Amino acid sequence: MRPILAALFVFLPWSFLGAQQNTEGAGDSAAATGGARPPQMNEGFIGRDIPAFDPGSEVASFDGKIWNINNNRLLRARFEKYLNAPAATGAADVAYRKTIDRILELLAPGNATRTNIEQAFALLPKASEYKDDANLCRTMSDAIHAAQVSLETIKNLKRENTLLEKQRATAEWNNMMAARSSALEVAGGSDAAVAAQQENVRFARDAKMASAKRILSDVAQTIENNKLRIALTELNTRGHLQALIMQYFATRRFEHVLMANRFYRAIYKDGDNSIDVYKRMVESLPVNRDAGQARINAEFDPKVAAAGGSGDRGAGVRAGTDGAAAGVDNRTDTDGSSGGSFAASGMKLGLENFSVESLTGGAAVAAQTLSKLVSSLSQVDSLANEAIRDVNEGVEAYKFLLEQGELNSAVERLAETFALGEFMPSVRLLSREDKRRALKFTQMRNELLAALEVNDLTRAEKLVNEMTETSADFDASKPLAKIETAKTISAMHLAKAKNAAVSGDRAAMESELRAATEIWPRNPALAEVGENIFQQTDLQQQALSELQRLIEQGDHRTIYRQNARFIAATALYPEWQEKLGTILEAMAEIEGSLQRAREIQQRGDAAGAWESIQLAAVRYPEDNEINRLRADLASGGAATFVQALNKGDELEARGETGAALAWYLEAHRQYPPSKFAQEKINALAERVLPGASPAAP
Amino acid sequence: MARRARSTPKAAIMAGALVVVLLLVALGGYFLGSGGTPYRTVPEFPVQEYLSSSSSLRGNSYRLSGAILNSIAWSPQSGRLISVEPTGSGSPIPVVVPPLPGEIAMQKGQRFHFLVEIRENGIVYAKELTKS
Repeated sequence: MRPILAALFVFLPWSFLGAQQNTEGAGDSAAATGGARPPQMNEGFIGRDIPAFDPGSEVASFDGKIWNINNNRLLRARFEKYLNAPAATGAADVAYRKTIDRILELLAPGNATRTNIEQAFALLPKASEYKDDANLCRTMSDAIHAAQVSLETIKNLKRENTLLEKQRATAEWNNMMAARSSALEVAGGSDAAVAAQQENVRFARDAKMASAKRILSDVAQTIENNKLRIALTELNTRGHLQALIMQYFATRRFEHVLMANRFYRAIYKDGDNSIDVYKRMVESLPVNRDAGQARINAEFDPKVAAAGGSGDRGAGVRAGTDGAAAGVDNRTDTDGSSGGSFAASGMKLGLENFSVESLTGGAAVAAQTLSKLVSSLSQVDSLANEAIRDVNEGVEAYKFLLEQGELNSAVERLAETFALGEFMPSVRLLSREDKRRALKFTQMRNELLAALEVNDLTRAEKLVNEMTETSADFDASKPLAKIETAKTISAMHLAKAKNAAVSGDRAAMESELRAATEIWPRNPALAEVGENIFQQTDLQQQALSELQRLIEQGDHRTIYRQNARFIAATALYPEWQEKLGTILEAMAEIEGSLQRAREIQQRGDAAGAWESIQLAAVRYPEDNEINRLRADLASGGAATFVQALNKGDELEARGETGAALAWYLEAHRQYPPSKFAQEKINALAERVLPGASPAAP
Repeated sequence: MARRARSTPKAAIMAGALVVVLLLVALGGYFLGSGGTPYRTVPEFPVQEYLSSSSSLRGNSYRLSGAILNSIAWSPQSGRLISVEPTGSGSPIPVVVPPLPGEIAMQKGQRFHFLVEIRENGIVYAKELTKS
């Protein structure tokens, strides 16, 4: 009962704001359903005009808006303010409480004698002097006074009508007498003479009756006007009082509901407890749902029609208000006689001077909603009593749960109780000490919500642990699951960022880092990984600069020796990778040639070593190591062999083929496995003997 | 005293005869010995000069004696290209031996006397050859 009532009373004031609050749960719901209509928004058997409350999710829905009663910034702030406030045990508070209790006692069923009612009425101004009352009792006093005055007015009008009835009876008698005394008596004569005489007599009779007839019409019209005024006045005062009661109910001033209701019954003793007048008022409130705007008049605008008459001519009466005038401006069509029935409609109530029209629209919607929930003042009275009982029970439950150390449930019960009966004595009288523990827990819970909202998972985890220690019934599974999930996802994004950095995918790295930051902005690993990546980037830039310099200098051997560093540095740059790959491939071949040449040299085959390195020197003439080894061999063990080859090359270049061939033969004689010499010999032999076979038959 | 006078002409005659005999033997040996080497009228092949600059020797004919080191190439029309190690020199010389009438079979290690001519591009052509 309490959550439902709390949802209703929490929701109604905010609906005045025309607010479209989406709670966390609401957002989750929307996300989970892919934007589909949440369950709370489905058409129920009572439609969408009545607020619905889902106790499972503690979400209330109304008119397409959804509202979590326990997770709302405005409510949280108001609740914290209450928890920080001292108990209402001051002298003024006590005096106010006594005054209200006295009024309720005087108006209680069985005590509501005329004297007690007058005493209670006299206490209303006193109660309104206290700030906790917010002048509500003054308003009630004024409304009751206005109702009493209107009742006096109605009495006067009824008395006047009684007199007018007597006057009308006199006028009717006079009229009848005038008609009798003017009977159409006709003397004898011709037919034409008789007709003329009768015509003259008719004229004389009408002249005699004209005065009485006019007086009769005026009296009848005045009586009808008075009847309309009586009806309108009663409607006006009843409507005002009913609206006041409903306003107290909507603002959770349940004691004021009871007081005003009992005054109402004392004033209107006809037993009519229906709130039809109020309903017609609020139903007439214009609401522009599309624009969220509404213009509401602050006064009644009754349109009353009466029908009735005497004789063959009817009489019409229209009554209406002009602008904001409180009085009734009646215009009558006097060309008629008395009326027997009337109808009234078009009464309006609203907040015309509000600058934000959405507020007025919200107010109209809230008032209409409330009018659909109840149909009589007895129901309102019953609901107010139930709410008072529920609030008192909620406070007791809070105290018990507090003793048990079950802070989570205690705070939830107190929050619900506060939402329902913020102004009730049992809530106001709760001591500050009793509220402190709830306050601390509430602050921690609010901090937890804030930490989760901004994804401060470290802080959230710490708070969850503290709350688990503080409260025996705190369910840490949900927040912990969210925290752990977020941490895992953040770690996955970081791992992906690292991989992207290694693979040189800068766009993916930035994207993954951004994703990890959004999920857990204060993740300690985030800074560490980011720093490592950026340090790595700095080292990469240095290495790339050095690589560029070495390439420009042609120092491929240094690049080859530091190949691991440069391979890592060029990981992000495909164009550099290609250059580096070409260099390292060549250097691998050069180093292989040098290695092979040295091995051959170590076997004592200097000419063979020279030939091996000479092959590499042809491809890489700029390499210093190759040139150095080749020079060593050419001036050392392979000197004569190389000299023979060189001499052959020299003579061949001079066109002395025969002598060149002689030198190549000499080189081949010195080193028979020589490929160089053999190739030269074969080439020159072909030149000397074109088409000859290499070997003799 | 008289004895010395009688022995002096006889000894001189004998010595003179000996000298003559020796001279005859020497001349005979000379003529008999050189009488087996062909192409004695042409100069010997200048190996070192050829290896240094063959172009200056172009058009000249020489006598070349040496052992066949290898057969480098062969063509029925153009003949054979062989390498010859001249007597007294370790440097092989390439020699083109064109198809000659009454060709002699040539084997590696055999010694030959070649009458050669240095032609264009310093290529050594054998005009005649005889096995030694």
